[in-house]
Amino acid sequence: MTTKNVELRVFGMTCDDCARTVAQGLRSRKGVEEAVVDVRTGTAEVTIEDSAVTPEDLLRVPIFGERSHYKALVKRAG
Amino acid sequence: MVSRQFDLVILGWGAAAFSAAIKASELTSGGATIAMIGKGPIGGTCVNVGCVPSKYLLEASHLAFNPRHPRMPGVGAVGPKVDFGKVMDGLRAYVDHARSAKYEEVIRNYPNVTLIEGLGSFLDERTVKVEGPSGGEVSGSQVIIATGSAPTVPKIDGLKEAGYLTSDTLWNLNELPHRVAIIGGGAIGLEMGQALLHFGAEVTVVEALDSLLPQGEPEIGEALKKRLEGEGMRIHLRARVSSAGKSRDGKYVEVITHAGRHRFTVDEIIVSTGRRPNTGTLNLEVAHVKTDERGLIITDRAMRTSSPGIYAAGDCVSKTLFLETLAAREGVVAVSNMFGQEAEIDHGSATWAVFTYPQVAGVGLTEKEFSRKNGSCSFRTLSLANLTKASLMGETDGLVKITVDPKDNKIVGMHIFSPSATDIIIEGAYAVRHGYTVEDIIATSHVFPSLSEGVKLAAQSFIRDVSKMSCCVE
Repeated sequence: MTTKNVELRVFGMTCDDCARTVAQGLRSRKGVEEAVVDVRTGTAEVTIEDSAVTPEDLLRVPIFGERSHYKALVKRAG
Repeated sequence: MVSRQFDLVILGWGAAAFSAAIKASELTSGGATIAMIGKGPIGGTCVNVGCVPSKYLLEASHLAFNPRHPRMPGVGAVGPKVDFGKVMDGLRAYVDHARSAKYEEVIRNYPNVTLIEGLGSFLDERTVKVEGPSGGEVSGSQVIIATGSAPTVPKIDGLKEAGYLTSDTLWNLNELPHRVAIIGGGAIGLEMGQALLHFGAEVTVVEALDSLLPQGEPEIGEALKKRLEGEGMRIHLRARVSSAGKSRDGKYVEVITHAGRHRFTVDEIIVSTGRRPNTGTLNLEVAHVKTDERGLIITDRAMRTSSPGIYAAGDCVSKTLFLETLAAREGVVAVSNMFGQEAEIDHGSATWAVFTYPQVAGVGLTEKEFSRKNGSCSFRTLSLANLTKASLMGETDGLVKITVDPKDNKIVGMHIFSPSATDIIIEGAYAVRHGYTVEDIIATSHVFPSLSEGVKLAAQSFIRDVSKMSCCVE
């Protein structure tokens, strides 16, 4: 299994609870090995299983959905 | 050199760039840091040298022309006093106002957007070098290319020495040129030609193709030609300018037509032979962004280029319709996809227009395009002579043409030549986008008498002979 580290820029987080919620949302995606979210930098470091999920797939997890307060874009992929 | 880092870097500061920057700001509640890198007046082509000044000039010209040419009995001709210099002062003041109100003031509401003046070129997929007053390097997590386009000028012997205007420079005129040659009979050439004609200039249009507005329906190209020639415009089709130069009393233009070679004298030459994308200096190769043979950037319908994380929007994109409205939509589509919200551009229901008087507007496929694609089609053409509002206005030159898919009567294209065609065409846009049938149009109430009723009559002409129909038959 090959893994890849992806950095997301996450918008809309205001507190540690937000960071926890976003991290949980990312971890719920199949293929996400780990997600560490930092509210101060507005970033998420995500380790993904290369064959199961793409960096762009991470933007489509429900936590970043159209009605969600949180939005993200890919800052660095691999 | 240390790069300034942004979430989003946008190359360009025209309609597509603004649309993208505002959408990204809205999605992130102003959280995304955005750099907009541009050169020349902010707002790009449309507000500065495109739609806004050209429509201003056309409106003024019609005010000057129409009172001299009344179309109803009992209304005499009057000649309004026209000060062309003041018209142009008013035009430039309006452009300044529009640029300020719609771009400069607007962007002040977005403190997350940094304007960087200069010419940007890629150093790698995420870094752009800016040559300009603030200079330096700028990096973005994501990039949008929205650098627009500029007029092209064909290689014609002596043209450069004779001097010419384009849609970039026409707006600096202070005096009406009394004899004008327009090279290129597309939308821009015809609009500028009719505007100057309506102010009193003698206008000659030289077009290489065998019809006007070939992207539309041929009946409309023919009707528009007849109308413009009726107003005094000289139009040479299948013609080319072989040379130009200065002459004793102005400038000369030598034209080759099927009738041979002839030369005429003008005061000004306007070149309107098309536009080229502003992509030549972007160093796209290092960013692995692919272009077509014309230099236009190839994207998918999500506005993604061949390089991951780089999107493109507006007139620098490879497509067939180049419109400010489409550019703005493409900016939104690019940003939506960047944030994982799936969106696709719909070129099929994009409306286009030519703001001559009467106006030309279209949406969807022409009869020929649909037939070529599907082997057959069904269409009807309604002359405005059958439309009460048009005939009481004395404006019967126009027509409405609707093309449908014969399998289900769904409207696939609508093309209109009529006063207010640019407003009426929206009915066609809804029809094409949502797959309405001619029965849907017929069943929808239209005001009588109105020009928009022409769409309903055109739809009715699929089921009956409208010349044998009383008013308001459903």
